[in-house]
Amino acid sequence: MSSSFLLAILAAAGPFGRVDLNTATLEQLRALEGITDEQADSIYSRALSTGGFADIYEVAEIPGMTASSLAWLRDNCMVSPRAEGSLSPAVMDLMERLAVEDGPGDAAVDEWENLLIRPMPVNGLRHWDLRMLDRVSIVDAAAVERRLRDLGPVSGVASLRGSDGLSYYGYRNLRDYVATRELDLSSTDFFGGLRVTVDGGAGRSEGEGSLAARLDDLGSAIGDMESGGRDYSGSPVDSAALYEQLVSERDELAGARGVTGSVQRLRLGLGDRWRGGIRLSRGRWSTAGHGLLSGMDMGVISETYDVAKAFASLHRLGPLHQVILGNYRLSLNQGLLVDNADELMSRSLYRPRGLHPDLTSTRQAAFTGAACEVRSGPLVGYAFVSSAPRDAIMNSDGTPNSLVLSRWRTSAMAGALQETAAGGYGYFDLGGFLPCGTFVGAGALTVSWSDSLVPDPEFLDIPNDAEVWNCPEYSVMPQGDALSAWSVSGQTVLGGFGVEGEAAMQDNDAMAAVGGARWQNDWFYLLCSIRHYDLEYTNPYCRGFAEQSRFDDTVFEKPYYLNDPSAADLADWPVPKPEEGIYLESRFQVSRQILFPKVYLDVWRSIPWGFENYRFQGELEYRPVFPLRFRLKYKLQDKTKMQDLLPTSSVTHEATLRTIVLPAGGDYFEIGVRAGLVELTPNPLYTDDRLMSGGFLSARWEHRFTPGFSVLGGTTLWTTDGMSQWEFEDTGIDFLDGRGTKFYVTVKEQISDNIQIRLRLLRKDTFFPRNGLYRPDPEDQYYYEGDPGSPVRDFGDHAESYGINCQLDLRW
Amino acid sequence: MTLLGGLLALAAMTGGLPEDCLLGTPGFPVTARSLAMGRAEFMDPSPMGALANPSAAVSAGVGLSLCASAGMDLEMEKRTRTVYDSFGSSIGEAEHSFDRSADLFPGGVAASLAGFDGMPRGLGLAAGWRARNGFGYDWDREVRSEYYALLGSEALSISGTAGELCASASFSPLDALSLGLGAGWLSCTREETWRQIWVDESIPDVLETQESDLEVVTVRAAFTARPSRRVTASAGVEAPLSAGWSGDADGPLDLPPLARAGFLWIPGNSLRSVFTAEFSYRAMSGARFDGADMGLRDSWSASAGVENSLPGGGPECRFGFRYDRSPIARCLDCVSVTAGLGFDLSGWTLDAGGLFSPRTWEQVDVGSLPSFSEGDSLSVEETETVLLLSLSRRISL
Repeated sequence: MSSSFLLAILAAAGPFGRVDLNTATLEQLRALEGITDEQADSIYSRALSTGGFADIYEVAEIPGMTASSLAWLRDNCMVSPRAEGSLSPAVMDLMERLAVEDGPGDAAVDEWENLLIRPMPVNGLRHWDLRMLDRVSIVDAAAVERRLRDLGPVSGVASLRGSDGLSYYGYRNLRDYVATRELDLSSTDFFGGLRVTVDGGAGRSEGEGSLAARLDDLGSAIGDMESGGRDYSGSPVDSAALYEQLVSERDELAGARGVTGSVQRLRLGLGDRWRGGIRLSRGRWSTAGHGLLSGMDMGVISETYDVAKAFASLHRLGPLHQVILGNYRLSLNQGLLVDNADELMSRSLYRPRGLHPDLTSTRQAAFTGAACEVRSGPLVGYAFVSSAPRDAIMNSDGTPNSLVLSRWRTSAMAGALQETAAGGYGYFDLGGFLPCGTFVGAGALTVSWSDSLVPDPEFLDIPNDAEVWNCPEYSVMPQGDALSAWSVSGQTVLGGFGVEGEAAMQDNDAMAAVGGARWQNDWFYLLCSIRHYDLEYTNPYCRGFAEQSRFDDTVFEKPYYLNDPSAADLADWPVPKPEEGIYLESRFQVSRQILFPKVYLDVWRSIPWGFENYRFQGELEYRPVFPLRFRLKYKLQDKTKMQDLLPTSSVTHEATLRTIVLPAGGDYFEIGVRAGLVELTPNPLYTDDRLMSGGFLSARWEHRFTPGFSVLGGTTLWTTDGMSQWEFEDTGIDFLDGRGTKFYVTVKEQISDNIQIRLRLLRKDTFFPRNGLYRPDPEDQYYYEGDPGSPVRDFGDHAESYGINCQLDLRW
Repeated sequence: MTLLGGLLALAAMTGGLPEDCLLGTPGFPVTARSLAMGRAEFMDPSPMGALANPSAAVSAGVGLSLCASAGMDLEMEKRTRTVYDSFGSSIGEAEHSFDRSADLFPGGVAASLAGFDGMPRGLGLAAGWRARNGFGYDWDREVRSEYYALLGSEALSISGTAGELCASASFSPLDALSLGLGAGWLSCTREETWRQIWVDESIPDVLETQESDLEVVTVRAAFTARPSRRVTASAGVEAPLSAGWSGDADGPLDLPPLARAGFLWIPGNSLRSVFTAEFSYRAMSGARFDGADMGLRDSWSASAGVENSLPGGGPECRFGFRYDRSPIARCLDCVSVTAGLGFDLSGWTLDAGGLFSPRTWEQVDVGSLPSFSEGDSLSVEETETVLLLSLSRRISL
């Protein structure tokens, strides 16, 4: 044995001069006298592949190991403890649950993930901080601040559990995001995370709003114009310019078919002071890019980043609580003045309030610029400025018609305007002499565009067609090149009772208001909210509580009634519909076996039309024994909308029964069945097609091999007759049309404390029977494109689609 | 993308045939283990892996290691046409043809030698034959009149396998570093038959056959580094020295080199996981045939895979993911998922692996491909499923 080898053995020796089996090299193990070379190889291989032995007696599990060898190793060797992981599988599970929750948008999930890795210091919490969390109410947030203020710091998060006014539901929803660590502003701990996602697959995108449907709508409009089917004489529309625009949009979107989506998102942090991040992504089926770095052209439009965002932020510099440069997300109060999310979450009062960096997939409402949050004593303030491109529906004379959130974004709309937004909001926290959680606030927002908006319906309405343009929501859309609004807000909490509200006024004297009250305890809460949105309240950053978005049930849901079918994207405009209503929601734990998870009733009135509507949903859970749960959900809705000249109403019934089984070992099994029926008002338009129905049967099972490795499989069978269905899969919502089946398999593995991989394969088969296609009139026949001479008979359209998704997370 | 990809793309531009049957199955997998981990052959620690990565010959195993594999390639292809109503609105996609082909293929056979008495310490050798591309493709349809009377039938059949005979040698001057050199001779004969038979005898039947040959000599160089006992990283380049095509057109082929890199990581966990990732790149935009630009775009691929030992002494379970950027057109880029199992059978190792890859493209989106029926709207929905079995054994000398 050479001297250098002896030195190496000494280097691997533990504190008592014993060789550490977890860190020894192969040569060092082979040099041990009490075991053979083969046994040394096996020990080395086992230690390398498993990360080390937790106990020296684990060596006995290795094939070929003898009792005498084990005894020798026990007396002459040791095993060092394995390093503890920074992220437990439980945290990973929670991250996954957040990613599929119904409610929060991307920005919230991003922020919550950050907090799971680096939680908020619990002893410095104020109610402002907790309102960004999901399902933590104003009462809960105020209770935590009151507990810390009255009784001093806690030594563990669990100590918050008994706080007066803090419900168990609220405690459960905040405990993972806070910790008893101290804020260390001088720390230079470098941490971060990299997420790489590839979203690919193949097949047709079916259904309303799909790319295939948009291409079809564009093709139909182009064909219509080519055949002289539209008469633009006497119309302000330049039909030649419109034709060119439609062709351009179709050609561009055709290039987006089958694009594989990808996301590269990097987040960095230095102690508690600095944060930074960048996101480069390309969504499936998308084309034009957006974001701070959208100028990064990768050569051809289909390879340009769809979203390219970045930010840098500095925290806790005196009264400057945080300042963000780059892309940021701002959501204040009830969302009436400013919330720059890309979507309107129907019937959701929860929003991640405050100022946050933004690396999300949102693009149309993204703020790019600078924003800061100031805290000084009882004063809390926000100031922001943004300059970012915005999409717009274009008139054929080249002027912008209306702002739009493009679903299928083409160069014709993308970045048509440059928008400058600026504003501020100030709060005075009255918790020093009034109940904790009390404040009043006021703020203002101003928005200006580089070109004047001209929302003229004549540029959108096909002349002389069957549809009568009747859309009051559109007729008052912002005109000109600027808009401003201001708002006041306030809240107070008394024991288990809280009240909050916001009222906003626009420069055209239109107003919006949302107010709510909540009473809660450990087993019950009751929430009551009232709302009102004037027709003319068109602030593009209003995301207040509402049942419907602004252009639901309007002509914009029907692309074939529009000159440019792409204007149908206005149907996604995430501003509340002009409506007023009252909303009641409750959660009631009757006993350990019986729970009403969520019961709500919403009664609202459409302001332009005066139609009254209601929606009720009740959910009952029965748990006879712990591993078995039954959940029954029933929804009833009565809604009226204007259909051409006549109002029509629909009554929807929907019932869902889910059975959840939690066998041992962390497995999860669920089977669900849903049936729905829509009844429409008798109307000559519907003839005998007045009833629509649909339903599905689904099952899924997750088997956990180890805490870090599990396989999830699911399947669904559905049939619909006019009533499309939706369901939550493991990674998001899916819409089901026609009839069909699907299955998916997901493999999830936490390879190490820092790396997680997730791989998913989906197959979906949808069948659309096409019968009764025979037409004796040659002018009325069905035909194949490019082959008009071939006869078309009955056929079954079978759409197969595959989704393949791979996500790799690296954290340090 | 293999050497053949560029060449066959040229044929695609001139032959009037669908892309799929010309490209064949690009890059046949060589072992079931590498297939199941995202087809990561470059980091495959086996004699077959050492043929692709010569620096791995020394780490393929002490003693004599043997490996053989064979599998099946199942392709399904559905062609649809859009149906419109008299207002020009589409009402659905009608199936135009459905073709399915299943071909058995040899994966390869290889042996490696390292660490036996008489060999210099740190030297490893590997040699073998491996399949690189397959061209099993069959397409047929009946031609009918608008009254459904049978007018005739047409069929296309393509066959052939490209195989490479190759050898590698590697040397480890240090425990943490290996260097390797390799060479290969690739040859291929591809046969194509096109047949049209008409009921009406006044219309002449068509029977065309074509045979093409390809020969390429390739050299490889690579290195493998082990910066820690848990991490192995490797990079290499494969350069075709001379390539020639003979068939309907003869001429030299200039193909750019293929650069590859990958790493293997043993994180150390209760599943005894092994994680592998690979990346390859070839600047196919520089490919030339007989001095003429082939009009291709740069291609690359990325893959990642994981191997786990299931608790309770179960088989080894593998899964992976792969992305391939096509040199032909963006719509032909594809993603694949892979999975497999490994069994230890008293000294022998039996591995089974599978790859699934779906792809949908519009014929009009692949500019260099003429349509079967000129002017017809044609969507192609295809899936490829590859199953492979490998048997290997290590013999101590």
